[in-house]
Amino acid sequence: MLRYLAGRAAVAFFTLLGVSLATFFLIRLIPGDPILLLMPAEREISEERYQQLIIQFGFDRPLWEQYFRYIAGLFSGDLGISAFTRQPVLSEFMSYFPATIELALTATCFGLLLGVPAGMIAALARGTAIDLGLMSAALVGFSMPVFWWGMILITFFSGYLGWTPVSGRISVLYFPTPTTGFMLADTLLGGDLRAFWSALNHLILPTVTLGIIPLAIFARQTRSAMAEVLNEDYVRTARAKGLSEFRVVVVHALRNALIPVTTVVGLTMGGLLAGAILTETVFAWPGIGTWIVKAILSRDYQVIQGGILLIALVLILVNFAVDVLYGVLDPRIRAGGAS
Amino acid sequence: MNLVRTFIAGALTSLISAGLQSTASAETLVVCTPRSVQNLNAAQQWVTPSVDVMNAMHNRLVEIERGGTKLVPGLATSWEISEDGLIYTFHLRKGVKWHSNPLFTPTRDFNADDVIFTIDRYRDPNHFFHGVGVGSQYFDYTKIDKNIVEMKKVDDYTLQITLAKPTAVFLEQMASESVSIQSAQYGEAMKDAGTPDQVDLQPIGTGPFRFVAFQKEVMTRFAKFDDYWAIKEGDASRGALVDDLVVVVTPDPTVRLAQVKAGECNILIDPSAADVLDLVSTPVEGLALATVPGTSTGLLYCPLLPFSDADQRVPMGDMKVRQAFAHAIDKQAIIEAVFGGATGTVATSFVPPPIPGFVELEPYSRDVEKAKQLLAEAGYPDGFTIELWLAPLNRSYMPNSQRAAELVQADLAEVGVKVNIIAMDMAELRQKRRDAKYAYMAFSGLNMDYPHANAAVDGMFSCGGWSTVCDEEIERLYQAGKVELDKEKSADIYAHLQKRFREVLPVLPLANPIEFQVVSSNVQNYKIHTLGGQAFWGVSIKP
Repeated sequence: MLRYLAGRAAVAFFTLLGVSLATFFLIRLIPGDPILLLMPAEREISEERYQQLIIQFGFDRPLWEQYFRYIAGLFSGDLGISAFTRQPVLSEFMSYFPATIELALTATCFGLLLGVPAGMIAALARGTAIDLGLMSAALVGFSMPVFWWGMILITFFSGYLGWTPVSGRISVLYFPTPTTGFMLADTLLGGDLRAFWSALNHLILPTVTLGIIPLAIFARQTRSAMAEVLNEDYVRTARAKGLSEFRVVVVHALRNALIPVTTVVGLTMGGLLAGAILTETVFAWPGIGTWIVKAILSRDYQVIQGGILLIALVLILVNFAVDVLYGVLDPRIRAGGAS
Repeated sequence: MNLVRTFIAGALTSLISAGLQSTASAETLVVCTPRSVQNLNAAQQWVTPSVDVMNAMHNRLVEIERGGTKLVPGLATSWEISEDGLIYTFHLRKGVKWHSNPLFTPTRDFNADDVIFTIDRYRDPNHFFHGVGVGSQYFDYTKIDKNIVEMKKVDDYTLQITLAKPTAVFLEQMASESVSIQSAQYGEAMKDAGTPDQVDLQPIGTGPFRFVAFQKEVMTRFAKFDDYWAIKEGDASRGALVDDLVVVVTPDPTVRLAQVKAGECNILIDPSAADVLDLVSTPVEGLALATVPGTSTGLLYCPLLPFSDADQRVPMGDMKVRQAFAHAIDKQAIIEAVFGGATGTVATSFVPPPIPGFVELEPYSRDVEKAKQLLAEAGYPDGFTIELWLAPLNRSYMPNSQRAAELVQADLAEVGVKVNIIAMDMAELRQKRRDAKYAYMAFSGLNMDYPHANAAVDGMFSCGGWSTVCDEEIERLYQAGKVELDKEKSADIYAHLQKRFREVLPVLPLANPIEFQVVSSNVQNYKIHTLGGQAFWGVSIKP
């Protein structure tokens, strides 16, 4: 097991090194100069100020030297500071990331809670109108643009019915102390139940919007995996032994069907962590998607480099967690990995 | 089971009540705005809502009346100018308290040391705080830093500033948010603590609201400053009348409108032209449209550069070509298509109409034949090809640059000029503009930083300035206007300058925006302020 973990750590290290290298040089290939963007669009920067800032930001040094300074900083835990806000990249990341995790987790849970049962039902009712209806609904959910979904939900639930807030993480009336950064947890820790409900209420529409595509994916994946597993010999054996249909489906079939679903959950969760930009934009959700995109538009090199590296690290950890979960779900994989 | 039912019922009740409670309260003024503050250093701020935020927190020596263009006393209660226009003696307000924050508690009131600290930070390259942050472009282009040769503290509440040359707009320049007065004592404390950056990350000021929290792209939060000098002087209406001020960033205009309709915002900055037209034709109960003429000018920028290395002709170098463009481009069509016919007017001068000194001039008529004739006289009977570099601007002076580019392209095609639209993002555009070697066009705009026509000329249309056109007459008038202290003579100079500008056209003025904001009808005493940041002091919410 130790060898396995050491191997994974080595792969993670070289992956992160590759990410840092690619991000550092690719972002500099895109035309644009962060120093020019520090100044208003309507005025050109004076040459004197430009040269001063070039030196201040270290852009006068050769690229390789800039890269090695960046890597040296990484080893001492310094990801640099944003050219625009002057805040350390790590501290900025930590202020945005909990919002993204909170939303990605709730969206994944929403997708799992509805998608897996829907896939199961469709698999059990293969070829019937129920199967066709559920899978068609999943296809519709998968095909609709997230931006459009968000606007429709806002218009109907917030605008027309007035049930849910339009955007943000919590009503501006509440300003919970950011202990964990997770709004639900912070409001509960603050002991303010009304603030907690406000935060929960603000999560509903973004969760549904972001969770619709994962829901569709989970439903289709579960259906397909279940359909395959239900034809396996051990399922027939279980039935022949006289086990209840519930036990056959849930304990014997579903557990095995969940292995490929788990892979998809891991990949989807990774996608949600890094790619919830549209949902974040529609709901003015302060997550890392918005943060990174704004940094790219303003060529805030340190934020882009540090932010993408941290996202990569999180994705590596999520995938590692998925691998561990494989082992729990399927002892054969655990045994193989350990050997 | 009953317990579960009770819990669910309780949860639903709380959920619904929490939803209802999420509307803005009588004590919190919520402003929804499209763009985020970049950082909290006053001297680096340019566009709303950055300057709005600075206005809430800070004061200047001299300020601009809310919603107008007149100068009013700020931290200076009065001032005298020497006969030769070189020495300004400011009498500073007494009893002005600084905000405090978890890092710092001030032990003295505002005084002359703070003004000296603020200006020296950007004026003196050896000042400790000169290298903290990225400097001030405002000081760079107004050259205040070079123009101030001496600051003398006569006593704690009297400050003499000596200029290198008489400057007609010195007081106006000092009224900009970029010259918001910072605390010298806070600076010293943060320097001693080894955390000088904190003066910009957790700023303090003397303004009506104190800073509470900031998250870029999310919101900036303030609380009422109870010790604000205006309140203590008995002028409560100049202080904060709400407990909290929250500036929330919502990039999408449709979502912003939904927020104000749902009561999540009290004031919506920058509604889209389509939403403004909708609200005009179909008023929404509980919402009102506030409107004033804007103090900016949208324009087409055409620097004097050659076609290529092989063809060294400079197409825009001939005044006749610029005049031909002015005749060819249908500006009224741009107003109709880009500004919805309601959120902008045709610009005839580089000076926006509300600015003192603006002169109403005859706009260039749409005249294709005249344009062709001018092009032929300039040596381009068959026209030429030029690129139009396009990046999303999303400013009130150019709300839809893509549509405007298409109209310009079609209009110029009629006179034989082929325009290739090259789309890019702002970062690329800024770099291309800096590195440009060959002729191109781009949209841009002029924002007035202070209420004087000179604000549009400084560094823009003077020789060696941004427009790249160097006209002797414009330069002479600009130099004369800068030092003319007599108001009548100054107005005459700027009137002549605008007439000469109309003929020379260093840039092509297209439109002046009409600013709109959507305001909840329970918001009282709010006035749109187009020169610099919005002023949220004196604004209350009817319960």
